[in-house]
Amino acid sequence: MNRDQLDGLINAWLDGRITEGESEVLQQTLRESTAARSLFKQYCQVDAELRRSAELSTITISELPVNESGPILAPTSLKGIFALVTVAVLGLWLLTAMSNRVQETEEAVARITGLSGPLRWTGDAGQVVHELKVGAPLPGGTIDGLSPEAWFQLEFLDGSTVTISGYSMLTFSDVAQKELYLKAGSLSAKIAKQPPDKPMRIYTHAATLTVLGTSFDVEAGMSSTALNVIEGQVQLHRLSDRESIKVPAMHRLVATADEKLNLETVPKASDRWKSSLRLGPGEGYGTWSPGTDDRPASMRAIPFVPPHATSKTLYLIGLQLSKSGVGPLLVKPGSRLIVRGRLKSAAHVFFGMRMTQTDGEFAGKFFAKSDQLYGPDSEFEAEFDTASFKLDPSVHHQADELPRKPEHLLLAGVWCFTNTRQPAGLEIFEVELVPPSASDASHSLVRSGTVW
Amino acid sequence: MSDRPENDQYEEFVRLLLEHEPRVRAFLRGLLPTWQDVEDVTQEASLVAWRKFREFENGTSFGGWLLTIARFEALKHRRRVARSPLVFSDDVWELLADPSHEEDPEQARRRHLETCLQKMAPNARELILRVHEPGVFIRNVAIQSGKSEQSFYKVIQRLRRSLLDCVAKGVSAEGAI
Repeated sequence: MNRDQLDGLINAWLDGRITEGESEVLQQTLRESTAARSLFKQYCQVDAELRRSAELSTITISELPVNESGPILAPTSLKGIFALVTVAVLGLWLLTAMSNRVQETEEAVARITGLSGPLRWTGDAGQVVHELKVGAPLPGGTIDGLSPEAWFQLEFLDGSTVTISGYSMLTFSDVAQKELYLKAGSLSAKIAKQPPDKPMRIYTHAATLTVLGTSFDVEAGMSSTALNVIEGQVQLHRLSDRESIKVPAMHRLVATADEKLNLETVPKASDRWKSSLRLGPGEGYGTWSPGTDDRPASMRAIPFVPPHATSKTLYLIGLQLSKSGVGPLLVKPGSRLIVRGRLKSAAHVFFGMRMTQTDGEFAGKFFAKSDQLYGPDSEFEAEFDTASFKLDPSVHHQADELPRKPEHLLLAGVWCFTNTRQPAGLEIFEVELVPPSASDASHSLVRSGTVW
Repeated sequence: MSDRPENDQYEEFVRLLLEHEPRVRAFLRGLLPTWQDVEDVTQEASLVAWRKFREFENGTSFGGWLLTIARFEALKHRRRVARSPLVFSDDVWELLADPSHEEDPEQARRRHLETCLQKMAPNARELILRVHEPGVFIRNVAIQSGKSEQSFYKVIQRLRRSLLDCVAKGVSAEGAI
């Protein structure tokens, strides 16, 4: 084998794209040749050094150590940069190591199997960790989803999985019996068979759920709990009057304090939806204003710093799709998302969607940018075709596991933002999902000016 | 080590770890299929080293001791990794995993890499660093580049080779002086 061929195989291995056949040839060469092994190791060393340099080039000044008189000066040479990154990396390592040591003193009851967006874990001893990693064991505690697009999945030791999304707060423990406290937000779960005398319990403000092994999702508000059961059966116990009801597969129930408990069958997936901001902000992100005679209800954008790009400040509005109000929402090829609102300054409008599979499993976040600038000081209607959506940068690290397009998936949450340095005064009146066949009709209706 | 106060031990450990951790990462890179595996095992090895630091004998090679721990942790980790073309067979792994054959050209190599990177055209330097950033998938960068994936990989291969040759030349010239 000549040097070029060997270079090609080593590079393919380093890039993670080597085929089985190529791997066999590379391994045979490494077995037989000391020189090939030496070259392989040299490539690995250069790869490691490049990784260090690249890590450093992604560290911004705001992340570098700060002394009392302000940020230290930016290094002028790579050598200086290496020294700084070493300090930064060591600091991060020590923090991680210390947090792991604390976690090791308690027995792990679950591990993280997926996450995205800003999250915070608080352990029982008050330890707070923002830098969570997939695979990390957790000994119980509280998980907070800190933005509309946050998502977090936990797997218990028996294989049961629990997913929270959006603004959510979940406390979990498993000391012989799984106990979850859903203080706010949405939770989806696939629960393995539990011992009959120790069923899983989920506590919300309005109800207690008893689970022996099933698949379901639940949404907790201050005064109501919405439950959709996909498989198995869940017993719901309303706290206000101690009434209990068993919710079977493919049924849903909304438990409020003052209404009769009525079981409904889970509706088939719908391909159309329209937001109802006039009813309130729900669990949305932004500042809500009620409608008046001459203005519809609206949400105004507020600042949001994406955790994967902390040098940016976006001005963002998030809307959670309430499970109590709508059934599953299916995005079809050719479906359109229409956003109606107002901008004070001229800006492009970005639109994002969080998607799930039909069983509630996270299926990615996607975004699209408007073709044209909207504003200033005018209302706009931005329309996005599903084909124009790309995978959101915050989930690029999972790109190989996620669908490439939002089509054939269920819509779980939407958000809209501007990416200008200053606030552009983004305000949203309405968001609408329009199926492919109805796009033209809906569009002409909107243009007639009778939407609000 | 055991007679020293814990704070002193801790400072000494951090100093030694700072010095040798890059060598461990480079060593592990050749044994593990992805950077995520390398990061996980590096962290685990560092924790094990800290727990056993009392057993480390002053005057012996900390780097060699750390590499031995890293090798053992990599072996444990390897058993948990699914089979794939990126995972070498046992005999090849053993050939690559002998820490006693690991050179320590850390300082010289790093210094020359710095010089070689500075010699590169800015666009080329930016590109090669971009594909080595944590969390970046080379395939995604290839797609975004507008080139065919195969020609993009060839570009990266050429850049890596030119850096490798440049570093080797610098290290060898230094040795000849």
